[in-house]
Amino acid sequence: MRLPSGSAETLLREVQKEGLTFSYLGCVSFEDRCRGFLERHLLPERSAFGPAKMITVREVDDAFPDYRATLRRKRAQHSKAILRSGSIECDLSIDLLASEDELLDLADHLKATLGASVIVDISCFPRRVFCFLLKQILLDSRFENVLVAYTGAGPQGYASGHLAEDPLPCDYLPGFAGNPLATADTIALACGFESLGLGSFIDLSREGVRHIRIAMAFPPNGSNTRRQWNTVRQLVQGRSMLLDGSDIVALGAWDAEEMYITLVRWASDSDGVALAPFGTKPHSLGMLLFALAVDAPMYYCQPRSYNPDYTRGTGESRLYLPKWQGVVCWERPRAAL
Amino acid sequence: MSQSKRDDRVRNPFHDWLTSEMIEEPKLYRKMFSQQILVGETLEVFQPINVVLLGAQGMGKSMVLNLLRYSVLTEWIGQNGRLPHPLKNVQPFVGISINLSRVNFQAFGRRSVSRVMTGRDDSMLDAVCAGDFVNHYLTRELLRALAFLNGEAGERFRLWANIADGFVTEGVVRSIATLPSWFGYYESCATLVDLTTRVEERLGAWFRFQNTNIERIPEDVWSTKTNPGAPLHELANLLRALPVRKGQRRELPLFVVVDQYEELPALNQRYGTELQRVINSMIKARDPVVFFKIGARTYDWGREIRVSGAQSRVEVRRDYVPVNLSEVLMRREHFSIKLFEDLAKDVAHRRLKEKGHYRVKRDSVPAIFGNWEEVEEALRYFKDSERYPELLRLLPRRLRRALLDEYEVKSKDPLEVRLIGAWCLQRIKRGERVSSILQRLPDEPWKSKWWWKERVAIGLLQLASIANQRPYYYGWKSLLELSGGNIAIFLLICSEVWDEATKRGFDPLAKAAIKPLLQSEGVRGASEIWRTRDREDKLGGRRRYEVVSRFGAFIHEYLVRDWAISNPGHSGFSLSDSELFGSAKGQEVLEFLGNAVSWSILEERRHKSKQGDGSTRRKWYLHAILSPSFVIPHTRVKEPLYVSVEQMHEWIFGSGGTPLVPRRRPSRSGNQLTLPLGETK
Repeated sequence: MRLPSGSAETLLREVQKEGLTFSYLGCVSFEDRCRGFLERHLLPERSAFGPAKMITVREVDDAFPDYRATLRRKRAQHSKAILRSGSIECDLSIDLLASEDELLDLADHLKATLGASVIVDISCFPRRVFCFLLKQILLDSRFENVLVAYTGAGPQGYASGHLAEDPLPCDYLPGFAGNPLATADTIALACGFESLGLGSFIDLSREGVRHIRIAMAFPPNGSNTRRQWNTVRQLVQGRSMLLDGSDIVALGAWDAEEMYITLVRWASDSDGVALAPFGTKPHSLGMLLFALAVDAPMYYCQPRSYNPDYTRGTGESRLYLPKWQGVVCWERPRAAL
Repeated sequence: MSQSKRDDRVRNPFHDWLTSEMIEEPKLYRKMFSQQILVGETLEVFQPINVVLLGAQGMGKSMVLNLLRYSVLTEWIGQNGRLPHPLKNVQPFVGISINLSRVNFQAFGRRSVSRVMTGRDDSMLDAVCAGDFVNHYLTRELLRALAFLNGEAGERFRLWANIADGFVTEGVVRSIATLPSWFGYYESCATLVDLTTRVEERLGAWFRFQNTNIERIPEDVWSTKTNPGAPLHELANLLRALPVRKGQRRELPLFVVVDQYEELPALNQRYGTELQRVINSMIKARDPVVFFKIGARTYDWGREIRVSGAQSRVEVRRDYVPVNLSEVLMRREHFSIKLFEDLAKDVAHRRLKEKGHYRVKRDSVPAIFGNWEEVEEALRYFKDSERYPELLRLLPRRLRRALLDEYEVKSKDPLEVRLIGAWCLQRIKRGERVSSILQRLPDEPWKSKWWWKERVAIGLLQLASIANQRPYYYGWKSLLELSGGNIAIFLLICSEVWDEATKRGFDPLAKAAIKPLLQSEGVRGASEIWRTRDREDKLGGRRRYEVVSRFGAFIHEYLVRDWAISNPGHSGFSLSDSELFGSAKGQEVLEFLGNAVSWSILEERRHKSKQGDGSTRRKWYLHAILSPSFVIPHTRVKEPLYVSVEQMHEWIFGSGGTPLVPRRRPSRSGNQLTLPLGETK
């Protein structure tokens, strides 16, 4: 497994030396950072890129708290700004709780309209959408070169209150059901700020589970760390028999590759691993790649209500290289590239 | 903290208060499960009938249903092939199970099989595919059961069920493989392993399709789709025909435990109810040899009772029997109260013995928490009678002076003084003169049984408030009341109290009971945990949290700040059935309240209207465990607040800023007014 990554500027410079034209796929969102990669890297060099598409993910109607009006207003502002560039398509949309059929229809359209080299910007996509689309893209031989972009929050970081609420019961992420007949004695959890139905996930997965292993995000930053430990505390309430202190690791918040490597290590002394990507998006990416490599299930408790101030401002963008010249990263020896 | 005390903290025997983990380990389950008490009340579950076992979260449904599984039941069977009391007269059966969420049953309909295989969407065809999946999954479970029962581990079960050793013969395998329902799918199978491999291949094909890993369903699966329930019937008939040990075969029905049925609509918003109808069809079939046992939260059953592809419905008592654990454990009759007490004592004792390895007698468990007496609690708030004038607040000075000087209230306990004050205030509010009140004092009218009893809880909370202290929650009896008949909550309280005690260096099993202060801290911790858990973990919990927070605060202000304690019963609210069922808003309110009951956030009871109109009504209270969070009484007395559906709808779905005002009961003279919405008095 080898997953090169780095600042968007650096990695783009390297891949563009190959003379490739990358299409772009992102998500129009209420978050400012949905325009981060576009405005810093794509629009200034527009001619170097191929078709650019932004998908709108529609909220559910009956979430609580109901922030729809604010979310829509903010999204409309971003959409307007994006459309002003004149070169980005924003007419695709899908429901947050879209079925696999609807996701497949979207994926089929994208496969027909994006080029062989594509950048998928996961910054603002909900997990159940980007995980599905990335799976379709990575496993399709039409796509030779795939980059994943992620833009962090701005200097003001994340909202101090709940980021997301009103979770649905725990379910597998579309396309990542694994094989329910296979045993998994380990749950690997990428820890986030919200416990969001995690408890229900643990209860659901109970049969045969012996360990919960947790990856927390590094660096330790006061409130971020406190919130993650709070999540762990809520998780273990009433369930102490599963968690051992040695099963908690800290990984760089950006480090998808290290997440993958950690999962390989955990899997080596487990009888099957079930994944719970509740942490950072790069950690979710690492889990996704592992899940594709070994056909592991990924579970999530989809929140239905998002805080309009989920993130504020736009941070730096990072790129990851999960597929290059037709070879997916988990088939790539560490020494290669 | 000394090492031994640290050990006590680490060895908190109640720490795993979510009991679900032990369900998966038969031996542990055998040690922990209080079968004598719980099973005794739910014996229909063990009979050859379809059963829907209802109850709020944490009441113990899964614990009961788990006992049906062959691997678990085996642990109970003695060397003599008999089950212990109260199961000793239960007729043999083979129990298998399916957890619908765990096997991703909710996936059906999200990727349409019919669309891919026929070119058009056909929900009936998709339902057939879902039914086929269930048929084959349960077949796999039965094959695993046969393998288990045929081996050494199944010896006691074979003895109980009168099945001969080595019963899995080539003949039996071929009989299974060639059942007409399979349409030849298992034709090539000669051994149990072959059958298991083949069924897992089929299930794998469904999984891969739902996972979008394959484009189409393999032809050998597609062309052999089964009808819902048909294979199970044939398999169950084969069970009856298994070779016997001795004598004649009695019946050997197949019991199928279905779990997570109620989650399907949430997990598959478009097709979830269709999937429920697939299961309903199997129940409706009223198969004479296959019986379904479904566990569902109280109000999650009954929302979709149609069968697949038709409008006919599963009918209570005809197609299935409901068993309501909430009713069994929460009734106010003495029997139910005793039942829960026995269950709690038994469960706690098992935990102490098996998890904590403590040597404690079962009947000594209540002594860990000690007794509670109302006057004793009152004296914790007010030891000093010089402060009694504070308890007589709002009374006219003349009356207060008379009570202190002439009537000598200082010789009484603080609770009585507070209630004297409340009684007097009530008289004043009704326009009675001070002189008349003074004349009645020697009769001590506040001591009339019901008047006193209805106001004790609020009186104590008021004492705590006046003394600027947090209320106490302690004693075995209080702990049971706060549990509200819910065994998970009971264990949570025990866990938090134990933790609090050991944190402060106190031995929970010392001769003296755990100090009331420590118990109170533990109870408050448990209350917050239960409240927060619903918010974080459960569908709809966020809104419930919001509504309950407002409601709890409202009750506190309304009741505890009412120094006259005029309406002690108004810790709950009542709605009429006709309003609830007669409008769209009523249905929305009912659904919200039903969900809150299912998740043990509210408690519900039916009651008769006191309005003289003969209408049937229901009343709801915050679950007892939430009372400490809002400092409201957890005991239920007298009449609740009579409100309208309009008010509740606004309260739940609106801003909730409108005060929840009681509808005045029409007096016999009919002169009293009904207060309009929004008006306070």
